[in-house]
Amino acid sequence: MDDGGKRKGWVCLFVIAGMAGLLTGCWSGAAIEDRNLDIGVAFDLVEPGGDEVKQKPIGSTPEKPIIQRTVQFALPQSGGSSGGSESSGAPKTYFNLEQTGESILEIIREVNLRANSSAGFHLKSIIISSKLLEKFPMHDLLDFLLADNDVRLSPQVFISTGKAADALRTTTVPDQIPAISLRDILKNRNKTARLVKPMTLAKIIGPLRNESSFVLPNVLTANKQVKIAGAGIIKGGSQTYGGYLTEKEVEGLQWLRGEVKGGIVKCKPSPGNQPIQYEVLSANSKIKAMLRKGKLSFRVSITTSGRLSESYRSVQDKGNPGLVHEIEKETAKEIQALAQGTVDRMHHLHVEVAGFGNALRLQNTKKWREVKPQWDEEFGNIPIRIEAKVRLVDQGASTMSAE
Amino acid sequence: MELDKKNERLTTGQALFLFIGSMMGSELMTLPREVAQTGKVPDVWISIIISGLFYAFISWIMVKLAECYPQQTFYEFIQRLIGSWAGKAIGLLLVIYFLVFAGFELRSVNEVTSFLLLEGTPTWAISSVFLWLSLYMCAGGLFAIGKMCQVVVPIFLCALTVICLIGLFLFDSNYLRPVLSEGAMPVIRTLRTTLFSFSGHECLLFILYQMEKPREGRKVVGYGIGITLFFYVASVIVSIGAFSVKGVVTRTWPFVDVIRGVELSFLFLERLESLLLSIWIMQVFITFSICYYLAALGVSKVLRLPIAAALFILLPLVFLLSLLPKGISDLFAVGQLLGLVSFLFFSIASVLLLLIAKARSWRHG
Repeated sequence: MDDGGKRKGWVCLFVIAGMAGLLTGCWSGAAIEDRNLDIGVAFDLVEPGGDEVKQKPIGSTPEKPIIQRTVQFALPQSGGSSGGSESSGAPKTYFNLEQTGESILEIIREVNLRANSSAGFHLKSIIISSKLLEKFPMHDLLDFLLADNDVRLSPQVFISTGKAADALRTTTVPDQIPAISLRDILKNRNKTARLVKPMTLAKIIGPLRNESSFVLPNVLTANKQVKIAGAGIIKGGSQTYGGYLTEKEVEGLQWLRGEVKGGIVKCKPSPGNQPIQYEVLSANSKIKAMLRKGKLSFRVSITTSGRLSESYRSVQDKGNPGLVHEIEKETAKEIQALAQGTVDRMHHLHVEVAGFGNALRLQNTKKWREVKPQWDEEFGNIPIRIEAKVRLVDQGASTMSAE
Repeated sequence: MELDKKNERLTTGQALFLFIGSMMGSELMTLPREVAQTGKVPDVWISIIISGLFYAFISWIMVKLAECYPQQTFYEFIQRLIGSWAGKAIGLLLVIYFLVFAGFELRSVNEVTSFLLLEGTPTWAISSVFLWLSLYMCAGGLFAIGKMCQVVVPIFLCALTVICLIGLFLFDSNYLRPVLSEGAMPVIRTLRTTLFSFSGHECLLFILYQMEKPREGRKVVGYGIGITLFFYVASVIVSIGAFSVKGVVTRTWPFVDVIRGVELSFLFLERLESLLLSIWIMQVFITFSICYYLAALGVSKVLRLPIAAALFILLPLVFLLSLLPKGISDLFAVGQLLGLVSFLFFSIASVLLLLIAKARSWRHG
């Protein structure tokens, strides 16, 4: 009995010792300061004759367009110390690495020769230049990112009409990491109507495989500042760059889609007066497809409710029903004009991203099948009527405008 | 059977979780892609519901059949029903079926783990932990597995619910509408896949005799099929709602990609895939163990061996079987084949055997 107990004790000891050996650490572990955390990536087209050409890989055929990939690494070891007072010598919190090649995987393998390899992808932002998208379809560029096991499907995708890599070089607020601050800008959608619905890699899969057109937020860099300015369109069939929407057109697009989460509309109730700011609280839109004698037409009804936030007018009761009505009507007109502007632009670009096709698909599947193959062209000939209805529900905390 | 001697019986809850555990294994992660591939329309979930109803019926027949022989497993009463030799032959074929099933689960877990969780960890390391732990558990008999199921399966169901809720961040109802836009034909065509996705339900034939209250077998079937059906439909709807039908077809593990597509900045963990995949591995461990145990049970009943010996004999076989598929597409083909066998054999066999059993009892008065 005693002997058996002793033996049990020894067995226990061995088991515990073995466990301790196994549990002390993950075998494939790597110290965090040794890791390159790649948090952003930008794709650009190398212009022939530009200064990047000297980086050109040896043995590449000159006809093939060359991709330049810029990867942004966060440097974990310097992140903590950047708060020091010796600002002149403050270490950078990130590092950009550039490499050119003809395919994404080729570039990645090449980078392995130049830096200690990146441990995995921790991407937050992907920026693709519009020039590159003219040459390469979206699915080719994203193919590797969508298939690799280290890449999550959560990074945000941007387009850039300028140089994509520039967006990884500057931040508006100094000392932030560009790739991360860029992603965080998208969280402001409830404050402005000029940000399109963000697209993560996961959300792109749908339109990519269904060959439908979609928009991506456009990043621009100017005067060492980064800005989301307008949006870029990816054309459905070819998945290449289809054109640019200005900030106003983005606003119109958001109204058409009923996706405005916040922001303001500037309107002038009576000529000669100061403008009034209408702050959007909620917005909705309905697209109705109508088929009469084989002729297709759309009716968009936009409804919104909001608040009168700021008016530079002489002392006046903001709750005055006559004035409220006037403001509602003027705001509706303004919204209508914005939406119409976007429709005109889409007609001009021969591309449709506002969900008209989807509305037709849901409401009249038979007709949709008929027009689907040449939808982007067909769309230009379809008359569209836009109605907007505004309800002013709130005057903010002060009922009188300030003197 | 020495180890089963202790008069331990499964409670109704344990039997229910055993039943669910044997159905929802590695299937769930790939189901959305498989049905989208055959159906090519978003309405494939209707087809899953139809198959679910069909299996509710088949399982009910199995319960009826098992009720005729309350103290015996399928391996024993099939010998009484169709003769000793034929029964033994079918028993051995079933052993092979369960072995392949176990090997399939083992390999699936290896594929997913080495792709998403532990890149670089050798196959033998993952498999050996799996195999030895399972052997230890199975040596405790069905009761031990039932108790384990009671712990693991509810956790797994919670994890599934979390995945479905995460999926709502990506969800776009436009990908699912309009319902039945191409008519009913694609839904019927998809039955080809969905009818094969309930493999594992056959474990009913082997667990009912161990239940405390065998009368409650019907309850087990109702809740078991209901819960499984709910999560199958949810997984398909969530995946298609996130990636669209054409998108789902291109994703190897669509249900895992739903988790990978979302970053939850408001939680203490931004990325839940490691956590949820670990829970999923526990679930596959359950499915694997049930198959492994049923195979060993077959060997022990047919060849009259103690079950521990049978478990040790089968252990290397399962490991070798798991190494056989050359690549991931081979593996998925094995999964389809298992579904087909399960559908054909167990549906037909249980109906036929029930008829024979009824005819006999009628003849004997």
